[in-house]
Formats: sequence, structure tokens, C-alpha cells
Amino acid sequence: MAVKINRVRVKNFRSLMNVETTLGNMTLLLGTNNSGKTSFLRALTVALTSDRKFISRDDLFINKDGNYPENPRVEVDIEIKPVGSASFSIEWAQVFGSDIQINPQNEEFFAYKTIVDFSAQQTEAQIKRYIIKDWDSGNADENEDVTANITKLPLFFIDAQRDLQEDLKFAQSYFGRLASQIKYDDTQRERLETALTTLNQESVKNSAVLTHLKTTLEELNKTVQTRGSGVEITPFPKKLRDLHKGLKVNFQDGGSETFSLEYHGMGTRSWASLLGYKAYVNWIKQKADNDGDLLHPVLALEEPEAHLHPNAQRQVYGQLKSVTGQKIISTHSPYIAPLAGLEELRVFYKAEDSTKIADLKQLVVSLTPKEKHSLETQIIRARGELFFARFVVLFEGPTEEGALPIFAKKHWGCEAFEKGVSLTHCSGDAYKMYIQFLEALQIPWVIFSDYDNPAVQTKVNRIATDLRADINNDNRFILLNNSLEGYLIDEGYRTEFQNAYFTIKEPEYSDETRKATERTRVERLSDTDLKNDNTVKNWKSKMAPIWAQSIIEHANPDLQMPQKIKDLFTFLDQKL
Amino acid sequence: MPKQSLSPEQKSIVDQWLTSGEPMLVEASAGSGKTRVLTESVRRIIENSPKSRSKILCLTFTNKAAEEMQERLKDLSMVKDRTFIGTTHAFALDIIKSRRHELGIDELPTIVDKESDRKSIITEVILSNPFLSRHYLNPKPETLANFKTLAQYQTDLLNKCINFISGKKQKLVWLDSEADSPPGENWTPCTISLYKDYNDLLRNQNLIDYDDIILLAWKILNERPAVANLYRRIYEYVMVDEAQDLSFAQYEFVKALCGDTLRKVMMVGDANQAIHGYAGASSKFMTEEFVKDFRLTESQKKKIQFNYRSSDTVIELANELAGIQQNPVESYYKGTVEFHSFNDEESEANWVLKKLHEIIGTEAEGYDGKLTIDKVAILGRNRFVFSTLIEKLEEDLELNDKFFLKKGTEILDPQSTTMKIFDLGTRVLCNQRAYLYHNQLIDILDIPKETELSLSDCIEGLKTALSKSSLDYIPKEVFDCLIECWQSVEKDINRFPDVLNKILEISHVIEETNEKDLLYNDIEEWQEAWGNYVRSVSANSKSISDFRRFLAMGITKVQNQHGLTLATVHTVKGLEYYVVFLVGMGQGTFPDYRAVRKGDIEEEKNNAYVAVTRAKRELYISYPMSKSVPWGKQMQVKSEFFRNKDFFHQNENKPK
Repeated sequence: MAVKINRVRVKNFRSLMNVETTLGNMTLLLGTNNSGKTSFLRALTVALTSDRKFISRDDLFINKDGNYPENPRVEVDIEIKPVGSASFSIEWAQVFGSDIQINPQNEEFFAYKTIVDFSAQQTEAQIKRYIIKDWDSGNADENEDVTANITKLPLFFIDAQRDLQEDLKFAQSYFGRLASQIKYDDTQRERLETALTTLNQESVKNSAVLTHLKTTLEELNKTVQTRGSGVEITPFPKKLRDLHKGLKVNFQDGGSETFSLEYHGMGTRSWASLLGYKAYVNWIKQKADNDGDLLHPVLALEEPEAHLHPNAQRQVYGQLKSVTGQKIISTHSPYIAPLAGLEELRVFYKAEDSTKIADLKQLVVSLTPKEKHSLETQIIRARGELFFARFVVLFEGPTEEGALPIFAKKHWGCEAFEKGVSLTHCSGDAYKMYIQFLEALQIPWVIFSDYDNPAVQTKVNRIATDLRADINNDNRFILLNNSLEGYLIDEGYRTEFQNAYFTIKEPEYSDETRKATERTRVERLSDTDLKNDNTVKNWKSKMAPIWAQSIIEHANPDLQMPQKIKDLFTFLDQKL
Repeated sequence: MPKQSLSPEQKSIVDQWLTSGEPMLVEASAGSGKTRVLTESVRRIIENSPKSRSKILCLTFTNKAAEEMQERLKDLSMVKDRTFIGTTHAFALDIIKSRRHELGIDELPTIVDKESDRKSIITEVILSNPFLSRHYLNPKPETLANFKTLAQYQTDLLNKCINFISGKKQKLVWLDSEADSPPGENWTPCTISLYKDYNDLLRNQNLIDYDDIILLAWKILNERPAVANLYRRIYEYVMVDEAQDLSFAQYEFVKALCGDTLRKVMMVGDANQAIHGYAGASSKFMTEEFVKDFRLTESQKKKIQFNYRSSDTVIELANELAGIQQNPVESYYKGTVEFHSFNDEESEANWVLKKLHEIIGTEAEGYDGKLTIDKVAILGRNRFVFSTLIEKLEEDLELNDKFFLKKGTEILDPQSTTMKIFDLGTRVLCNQRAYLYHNQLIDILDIPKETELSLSDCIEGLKTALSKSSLDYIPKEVFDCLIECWQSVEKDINRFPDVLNKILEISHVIEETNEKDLLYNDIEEWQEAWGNYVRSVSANSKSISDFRRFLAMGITKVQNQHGLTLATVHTVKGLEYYVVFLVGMGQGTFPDYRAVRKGDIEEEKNNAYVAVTRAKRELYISYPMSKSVPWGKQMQVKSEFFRNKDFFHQNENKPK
């Protein structure tokens, strides 16, 4: 029976002033750059290994006034629980020994606090570990040291700069560690080494260049007067124990020729490095199992998506899932995040000067299976980018979808997504689900709605009621009380609107008379009739980008954006 | 020590226990290799399961025995990870330390380690209770008539109270202010309130006494089956050494630990050596309760009959004493047993010295080489029988630095005022709630009672207290130094040795020579205690309160014991010597007159049995026909244990 790291709490480490979260078999950490994901992975390293080279006084949390915490020490709390039972198996009980605590529900756990203390004026931090008896109190008695063996939960940290080509050269890489375990029995070794000798001799003998080189190098003998066996050139490794040093990985991609990995792109090399880890950790786990030893590997991985094509990213996720042990993975990938179960996601975001972590547990619990299914299919799989948005504008209707990106670009001088704003089209029925999802992720949102007919009004009102919001005094609701087209016409953009229609419609007419007739008909319509004209309406989604474009090119700079849309962006500017 | 071979008899016991996985009782008489059976079992378990992480619990009776076992196993690298070898109290304290929150105790309690502290708590209980205080302060004339003075009466009453409380705790009676009525019979409102108030007073100051250690640990295991269950998974084997001396509480504690599932239990003991009856111990827990509770069949009860230690004549005498039949394994050596009587203690001492000079350095087959002085012991019933002998030894030019008086477990008790203050200060630092120590500090500093003092703010409080002191013979510099020292050790206990040096350095300003003299001795003792502490704990688990606990458990006084051993019978259990002098063997001394009066001679007989069986080859039993008492001389006859033996009378007037 297995164990897992159930909870983690970090204090005063970089931007992690005080965060706590749970971990599952697989946990994905989402969040923008600098939101604290890597710090969290590093904090785990502090707690689970004795590696201290990356932690210094500079890693202490500094608040917005530039002050260190009163107690200048980093604390990382870890809670380990048995999986599938209230008590540890005999083997794990013996590993953690009497450090194991029992809560009032008779559930066993082993929790400890790692303290990295910078209070003494020493160059090196003091690291100590104490038993935690009551997780919620957050305290540990500093008279009670951990005596349990935590090396059975090794943590492996893999950063984003991984590269199998580099791994091959370093004995300390996972690849290197695995390769250094290559073993043969004596007869096998002898046989292989004889073959290698033959191979080396043959290849030198049969190559004019190598023979020439050898002869020239033999001059060494004359000058240094050594009595050794002389110069030997070995194109292939001579001894089997050096085998791992020259190990190459070749890989054939599609129909091309097989290349050594060094000629592949960084994507493949990074991916191969991960697989190198997988091979290593599955190997040592297997070995531990065979030896009756215990091992619970923990992987802390940064950005598995690095350099990879979306489809490859999706594949990597599946491969990581089957790595033995617990996996904690940070990602920015809109392709990976949607693959995860909602329970696996942790969202990191900054509030004021420090990191907060949100999870979707509450959301998952509150949803019916059907709702959960539609959330996963309609939002998560289809709109992975939402996970990484800083702000989401929800609207309904093709007009908005066509026009808003153009106004956004005009306003910011760049695409909305570059500002972290997601302009998201959804049907009014889906508002509720989107909002629950965004709230759970702590992503701010605004609804930009026509609010012009009872059907739409009912939907929006329901959202407001759920949120206990006053729809008229809440800036999360920007209401036109009109269709966007109608609003434009009312705002004096009739010319741009009509022109857009003509631009779309006129190429259909073969003769100029009919073109003129339609022009006259439309121009003569009253504003109200124009808003309700069915022929025009038929084209409204195609028209939107066109009139939007002409509005932003308006001769009068003050009129280059309709007021309500300007309001929307001004509001976003304040929030971002 | 390398692996030791087991005799076929010992081996079959170890084999049966390890293969059956069932509990076993091993009754092993003196010299039959009890310790060897235990240590070799541990060795076998570890060697046969190198990958296992399960632990072996070895409960010993004394710290000394635990050290001995650890010493014998120290060549096994895994032994530290795989075993807990220690006294029952040490193990129980470990449980309290890590599980105290089960009893709602936050801070680790301080152990009341001095009898005098316990008495002062009881005095407080008595004085705060109207009924008890009347009895204490104004006893009825007829009650007082039995005592010479009121003070004597009060001391007697305090002792009675202590015994009563101790007795109840050893019966595992839990009674606090929340309990309505106590379990068991024979309670009076007076004893109920005594017991309750005493316990409440301890709790309020976050203190526990020695009896509480087993009681609390037992309570945790008993009331939280999940905790006991955890320990049963961690510990696969339990071994109890000297099981004949288990008390009711200790036995119940072991029973609660094992429950129904932990069956790999071995109890080893010898009913003939049961000598700690005064602490509520009885060999029946081993021979009856254990057999019953753990459902031992006949085949699980083993006896080791052979004596691997002693010579034929010694075994013969031992058997006679115990009324048993023990087989010497093979006649190694006939040995010597002699009985001597002397006119007085001086004459006895002279003879012993003469004999020592005669035999030391001689070579004989029975000595396994040359007889060195550390293979010889002089044993007595109490330490007063050695007074004349020690005088003579000190006068002896050859032996004066080659003997030591073996002490039992003793609590570090500083004698100099400076160190008393330092000691109390560290106690206050560990437990601010224990006003017991505040008050003692105030007393010793001679601070007027009406002075308002709060020691809750630790160092600051101590500072104020020292500043108010009216002690005239300790200069202010010393106080300043003490404050610095407290600050130092509070921050980092590893500075303790520096702190002692600091105090030593500052001591030159003290003019009072007696104080200075005592201070030097104290510092030496503390240095030794610290050295022992450092050796016994892991590097980073040291703290001031942990050090205090260590001191309280009495694991500190491991003297440098080289040379001739002078020891009382109670301190030599489990030890052996080639030559033993059993001196002062007069009726009234051994058996002790109190036991004779009570007609309770059995335990004294066990004591004598232990004394006799310490000898491997030669045993000299002697007594002086007259002994000195404060009011002159008193005549005595030979011990009833040897009433049918002929004592050779002689006079030895002058040592050579």
C-alpha cells in the first residue's frame, strides 16, 4: 500500500508568503510567469531533499514595503498520508516510526516542518525538521526533531532547460545515473570487450586516415621514452564500463533518415530528457520493489511543453501520467491544462504582494456529473487558453465576436490576448458555467451583453441573482440594452454600418441598377426599420469587422470607438 | 564485542522463540547467561532480516543494563535504527514525549526529580487543605506522643502521604479534578482530596513525578488503541530483562503495548533475584500474570539451569540459599568459599586488605590469567559497612587511588549556591509554569517574601530576581555571568560547555572559599553529565529541556569506574567478579533489621543470593562481632543466612 504527499504549506519563500494546497497523484500548477509555480516546486525540494544550494537569504519573502518577515526563516510543511486506508502499512509505519501522528478520527499521518533559518548571521542557512502534530495549527514543537527516514520519498527536480544531449554528458543526470548502472556478467563482458578490441583494430587497420594518424602519433614514444604499449586509437569505447560515456541516441522522425539526437530540435531533445527521467525512476522503483524496499518518488517538473508541438505536448502529458510516483508539474500550455482532471489543477496568481493558490475542488464538488461533463467538453477542452487569461470578457453573438477584437487592437495597439485578455464568445446558457469556472480560477471577468430582449435579460439576471449582484450598479455587467447594431446606429455610426452592408452585399449584384435600388432602399429606411431589416440582419456577422474597421479609422479621433466599448476597455485597463 | 556463542541450552531457547513467533518466559538463574540470550536474540533478528525496518524493544531495569546491552551489540551497524534499548521509564517517557497531546498536554512536562521537591509539593497540598493542615500543624496529643518532636511527626506524615500517592499511581489510579469518585476501595474524603490536589498541583505547573511516567504512558496506550496499534506495527519484538522486578504498572504498560497482536515477547528473569519489592514489584507478574495473559503453554516456559559463571563451591552456597538445584555447566574450577569472623570492623578491614595484597597480581587458572584489581569486588548490604574499610584503603599506599564506591543512579544535585541558582534558572527556562522552582529560587536568593516577582518572562524575570537578591557572599559579577550563561544556553544548548567554563572563570571573584570549593566540584559533575548527554543523543536533537529530562532520568552518573569495586548489593545486579568479599555479614545488617522485624525475610534472602552469585571463583564472607554505632559499640552475631556455617575467627590487628 502506498503513501502520498497530501498537503503542502509554504511560508516566507520568495513570493509564497503563506500558501497551502493539496497534492494528488498528478498535480498541474497553472499560472502566469512570476506567479510562484517554480518557487513552489523549489519549496518542495527544500522539504524533501537536503539540497540547499539554491536557497539563500535572498529567497526570503519581502513584502510590498520592502521588509523581510519578522521571523527571517522559510518554512515548508509537508503532510504524508497513507493511500486507501486510515493507517500506514507496516512497512511505511516502520519507515516513519513513532513520528507518525494520529488524528482524532484515528487517521494516521506524518507531517513535518522544514525550517530554513537565516536569523543567525551565518553564510549558510540552518535547516531543521520538526514533527507537526496538528496540521491546522501550523505549529511544530521545536524540541521534537524528525527521526523518520524521509529519503524514501526522493524528489526529482527537472527544470525547463532540460536537454537529453546535455544529460548524456553528465553522470548526474537521470540518464547518466541510469546508464552508469549498466552491468554485464563476466563472460558477457569478456566476449563484448574482445569484440570491441577487434572492432577497434579492424577499423583502424582498414582506414588509411586512421592508420596514418596512428603512425604519426607513435612519434610520441620517441620523445617521452615511455615503455607502455604505445599509441592506440579506438574509434569505439574500449572498456564496457565507459560505455555510457559514448552513448548516443538515434531517432528517426517520419520518413527521414535516422539522426543522432544532437541533430534533432530542442523539442525532441527536451522530450527525450523527460523520457530519460521516466526510464530512470521506473527502473529504481522496480529495483526497490524487487528488493522489498520502499520508494515513493516525487517529480517536480517545469513546463513539460517546452519547445514542443501541441500534439506532442498532449502526448507528453499522457506519458508523464504513467511515470511512477507523485508528479507535480508546472505548465503554461493551453494544450496540457485541458487534459488534466479538474481535481488536478492548481492555479497560482498574485494578490497584492504575494502568491495565492486556487483549486477547483469546490467547483468540482458543486457540479452534477452532467455539468462537470459539459464544463470539460465545452470550456476546458475547447478553450484551454482561458486557464492563462488575466481577464475574460464574456459576450454572446457573432457581431461582438467580429468587432471586439478590432476595437481591442485599436485600444491597446496589440491583440487582446497579448494583454492577457480573453474575448470569449459563449451562449447565454453557458454564462453560469463560465463564471463558476472563472471564479474558481480567480480570474476576473466581465459580461458584455446586448441585454435587449427578455430571453437574454432572464439569463443575465439569473447570473446576477446567483452572485447577489445589483446588475445596474456592478461594473462586471456592461449592458447595451440594445443590439450592438442598434447601439451603433443610435450612437451615430449609421454611415459606417450601411457602408459595411454595401461592401458585403454589392458584389452580389451583376447590374448597377439593382445595386442602386438596394442602396436607396436601405438609405431611406428609418433608424428603427434599419435595425429590424431582415436582409441586412442576414449579413450582420460578416459586416461587423468591416464597420468596426471603418469606425476605428474615423476622421474624428474622438469618434474612433463607440462609448460603451470604450467604457469596457477603460474598465479593463483599471483592472489589469 | 563480537558475536558470542550460545550454549546448546541457550541456543534452543533463542531458536524456539524466533521460529515460533510466540511469547516466551525464560527463567534464568544467576550466572546462566541471561544477558547473552537477550543480546544474541537481538543480533540474530537483525542479521537474519537485514532489510527489515521493524524494531526490537529491549526493556531493561537499569540504565546500566541498557548500556551493557548496547555495548555488546555495538559492532552491529543497524543496531541504532533497529532497536530501542532502555529502561521501561525511558521508553514510557518517549511515548509521553511524542503523544502527550493525546492527554491534552501541550508543553512537555518537567519531571520532579528530587524527593525534596516532591515533599514541598505535598506540603503545599496539605497546607492548602483545611482538614489536612489541621492534622499536620496541630496533631492530636495522642498521635504526637509517638514522636519526639512535631517536626519528626510531620516528616513521618509527609512520607506516609508520598507512599500513599506513589502506591495509588503504581496501581495506575488516575484521578483528577474532573473525576467524581476514585476507583478501588479504601478511599476517604481526606485521601481523595490529597490525591486529587497533588495531581492538580503537578498539572498546573506542568510537572510529572516518576510514577506518572509509566501511568501516563499506560493511559495513552490504553485509551488510544490507535496509538498502541501504531507502536505494534513499529515494534515487532519486545524483550523484558529482569522481569522478576516488574511492577504492576510496568507490567500493565507492557501488556497494553502488546495487546493481542504483538506476540513476539520474551520475558527473562529470575524469581530468586527479585529485590525491588519496595517499588511495587513482584516476580508474580512474570511467573503468573504473563503466563496467564499471554496464554503461555508449558513449552513456552523455559528454565536455564546451568551456571556458566561461578565455581562449584559458590554455586553450592547459592543453591543452598535459594533452595534450588542449579547445575554448573562443567566443573571449571572448584573455587573457594570461606567464612570469617572478626572482633571488630577494623580487624575485618585489615584482613580484607591483607588478603587483597596476597591475591592481586597472582596468576591462577581460575582467574583466566593474572588477577587484576578490577576483577575484585567488596560487597555489603548498605554503604555504611564500608566506612572503616574505606579509611584503611585510603591509608594504603598501593590501593588508595585504585578503588571506588559504586553509586546507584543519582540525580545531579549541585551543592554550591552559585550552581544551585544556575540549575534552578535552567529549570525555570524549561518550564515557566513550575512555580515550585520560582519559589526555590526566591528562597535561595534570599529575596524578601513580599517582593513582587514574575518569572513568566524568563530571562528578564531571572534578571530581576538576581537584582533583588540579598546574598552577600556571591558578587554581582557572578550574577551577571549567570544571566549571560542562561541567555547562551537558551539560544543554543551546544554552548553549555563554554558556559560552564565561563562560570569557572568568574568564580575567582568569590571570596567565600567553601562556596568556591563546592563550585569546582559541581562544575566537574556538570561537565561529566554534559559529556554523557552529548554521547547519548543525536547531534541536532539537543535542547535545554531535553538535557534536563536526561538529567532527570539519571542517565548521567556513569563514573569512571576503574579498580576495586566497593558496592552495595542493589547496584551490582548483572555484574560479575572473579573474587568477591561479602563484608558486614552480621544479623541485623544483612538481613536488614527492619526486614527481620517485619518478618519479611524473603527479599533479603534474594539480596544475599544476588551477592553470592556475583562471585565467579572466590567468595569471602565475613562479619565483625562488634560494630561501631554513634553511641559506642554494638555486638552482633552471624547472619542467619549462614547460621549453619562455621566462621573462622581471627584477629588481624595491623595491615602490613
